[in-house]
Amino acid sequence: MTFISAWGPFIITILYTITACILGYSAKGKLDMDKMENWSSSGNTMGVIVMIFLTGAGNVSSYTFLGAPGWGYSRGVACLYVVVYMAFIVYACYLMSPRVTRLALKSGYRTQAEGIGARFESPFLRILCGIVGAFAVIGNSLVQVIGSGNILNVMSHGAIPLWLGELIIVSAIAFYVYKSGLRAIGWTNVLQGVMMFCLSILVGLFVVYTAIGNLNIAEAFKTLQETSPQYLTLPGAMNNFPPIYWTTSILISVFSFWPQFWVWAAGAKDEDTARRQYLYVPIFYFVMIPMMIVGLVCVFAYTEFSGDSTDQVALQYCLDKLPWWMAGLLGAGILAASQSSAEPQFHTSTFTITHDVITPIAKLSPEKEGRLQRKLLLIVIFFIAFPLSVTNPGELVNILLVCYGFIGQLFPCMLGVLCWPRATKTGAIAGLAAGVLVVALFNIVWPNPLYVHAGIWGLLVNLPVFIVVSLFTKPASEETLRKFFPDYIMDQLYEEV
Amino acid sequence: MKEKKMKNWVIVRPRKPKEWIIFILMVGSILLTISPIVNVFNKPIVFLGLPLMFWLAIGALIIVIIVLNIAYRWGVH
Repeated sequence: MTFISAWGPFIITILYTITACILGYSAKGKLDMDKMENWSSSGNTMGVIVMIFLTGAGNVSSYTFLGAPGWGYSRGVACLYVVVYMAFIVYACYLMSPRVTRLALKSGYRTQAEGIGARFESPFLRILCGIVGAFAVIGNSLVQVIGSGNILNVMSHGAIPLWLGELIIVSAIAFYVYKSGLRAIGWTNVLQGVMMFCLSILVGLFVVYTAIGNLNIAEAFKTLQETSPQYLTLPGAMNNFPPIYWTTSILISVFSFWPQFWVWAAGAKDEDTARRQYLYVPIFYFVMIPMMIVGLVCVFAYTEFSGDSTDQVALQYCLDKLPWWMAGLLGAGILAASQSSAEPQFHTSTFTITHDVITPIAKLSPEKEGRLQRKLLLIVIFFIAFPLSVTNPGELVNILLVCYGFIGQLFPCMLGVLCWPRATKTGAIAGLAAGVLVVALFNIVWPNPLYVHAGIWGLLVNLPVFIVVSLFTKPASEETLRKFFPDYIMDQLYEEV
Repeated sequence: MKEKKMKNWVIVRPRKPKEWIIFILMVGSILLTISPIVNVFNKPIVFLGLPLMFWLAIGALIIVIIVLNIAYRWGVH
């Protein structure tokens, strides 16, 4: 093995990281990033194209290039549940995001917790939602950080330990997000999105070709059908993903309007921009299909895989069997996927903690808040996300599933913000607390009982509590409700008694 | 003196026919991919080069793009 074939992939991967840093650093332009609205929402300057990539690339993460093929390799077609739920999340985003943009432009609600707190007239609920949201988003970011560590570890042939690889990438992200905020994320996501799309297709074709000698994908799947048909159906090769778990995992994900969706929508130029981006975002998600095919092909084509985690199978296959430059580009593509998702997650969790937890408690001025949020980014990245990721809590997909369970508990609150004026703060708090408790119990004590996702159990408790308690407690004032609901709703909302 | 009391069940929901159609398409497309209909696709059959479950996932993406473009053209928000 020559030097270039051994270290070329690693060099390409590092060069990509440097390019992303330069692009992200220069993205700030003339905006003053000490101003809260500029760092957090790019001053409402983002157009449709940037928004498409911000959302699409932001949602396509380490899962796509590491976790999905890893699950394809270990379980089979169960990995496709992510494609399905990500398609349907777009429905909720299409309906909710323009309304969020309107609220942000009209009333300045830049975070989900702030909007919920204002709607329910409850600073306490704002803080509670901020904590739940930030916790889930940070948890989600672990997927990206661990993925990044895996890439550098594999690319360096083990010379860079996982923890150091994770530290290098989070430092790069901190560098340009600190400087340029959401604008950096938007522009780096355009670069990363283009890379991911091209690489996914290219790698998929290369892997099929090296596995069977031609590009006849049907032949690859016929081989799998004859040798290991359990990979082509649920409950999958490990017999632990039956149709009910598929169903409830999809449903809890569809109900999850993530805090970063609100932040992105709050950064849109106008409602129509927020709406139009979602017409095309699902096209982006086709990028996941080729990588899932890679994982399934590895079942029969890479029986010698002996890595520590199946999350590494696609990357290791490419290093062992593909041209060095292809493997390098894949490494860069995976880093692109990880960074494009980690950036908004760090940004949103930091912004949420500052804006919705610390500022209401400490009553900070906007200027102090603006200066604090950038500094807090470094604490979130280096003292919370990075140490947690070093503990390597589990497979990437399983971490994601847990986070969805918690974030799904904010769904009733969002119903109250956008759909049901009668919802009250007491109902929202009671439902949220009950739901979070159930999710915690059904993740730690009795994981996903009866193969029903813990988040669905949480909602089965959360929603009735939310509704019943709301009906027996006092609603928000008419003045507040007029900010959130259209006139035709307000005109029929009250009756004289 | 009469007081104002809030009605319990006033909610934001589809009102016009086009809004109802889009809502039904959205819910219907989700139902097509989960239990029990997922079992129609949950078979070790390779069709046009891909397992049936892959076609389910690809179909979900295509349906969402179509439904949302119709919704946008109809002004359904």
